[in-house]
Amino acid sequence: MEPLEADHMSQISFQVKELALRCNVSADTVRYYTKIGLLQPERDSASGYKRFDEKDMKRLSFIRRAKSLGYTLNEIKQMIEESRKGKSPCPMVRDLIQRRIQRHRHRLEEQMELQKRMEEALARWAAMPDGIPDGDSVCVLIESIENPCQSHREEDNQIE
Amino acid sequence: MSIRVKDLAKECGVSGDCVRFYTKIGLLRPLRDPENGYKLFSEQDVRRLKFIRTAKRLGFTLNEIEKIMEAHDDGKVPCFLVREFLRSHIEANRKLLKKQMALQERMEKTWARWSAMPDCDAAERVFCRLIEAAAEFDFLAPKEGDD
Repeated sequence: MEPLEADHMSQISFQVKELALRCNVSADTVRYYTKIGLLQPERDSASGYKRFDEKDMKRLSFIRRAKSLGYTLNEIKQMIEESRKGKSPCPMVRDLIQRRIQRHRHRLEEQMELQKRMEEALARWAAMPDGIPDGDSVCVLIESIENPCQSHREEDNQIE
Repeated sequence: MSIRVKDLAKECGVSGDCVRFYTKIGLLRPLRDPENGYKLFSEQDVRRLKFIRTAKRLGFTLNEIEKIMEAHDDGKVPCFLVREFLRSHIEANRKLLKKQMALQERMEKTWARWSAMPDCDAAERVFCRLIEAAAEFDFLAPKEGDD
């Protein structure tokens, strides 16, 4: 995109589709962000269309960047509000990412454990024939894995 | 043998609410005590509940567990279904893990870079200099196939 002269900035305005195209998002995204108040377009007095300006474009690219770093729309809204109140959002921005890094790492570890459990089960089942239908067991494959009434440690040992 | 909600829950190391929920969605099928209307679970329900817990720990959804149990109740062998479900979970979870590990790396690297940067002054024109600066972080450059 070409840099715009300061004088032109206030005059440039886009409709939903143009803003979406320039920022490489869908028109629905622009509409949604507008609906929840993250973007605040003016209304064209003649047509009633939403008119976005340079400021909205900057804000939209800010939102996308923050989202790619894992911030939620709710958190982004808070950042924008802090900045609107003339406060620095940076302490909040740092605090949020630090907490998310920890939470996310914990969740990743859980998911990695699940992946390991699943892969080990499938590998073990490869050597097992299908069961014969009977009234007692639902599926011999799953029932071969562990007794869920035992403690987790015992379960883990049984899988290994 | 017939036991009540509490006893079944205790036997299988789950909460009473869990037993009630599985009953509500039809995974457990207790009889009713003709005297007082209480739910009465059988040996078979114990086995089913243990089965559900094991399957859940392996990542099966309740919906899939229902299908597996239906196949079994129809006198079919559900093993094929079970292997298929697990295979697709492994594949999906592997993709998810890859994405989430990339996000974790992005966040950690960003946080490290930010630690060397001062906070914005209040009322700067940018919303947050930290996030604006992330535009220049090489490891955040968009790659093919990103959202």
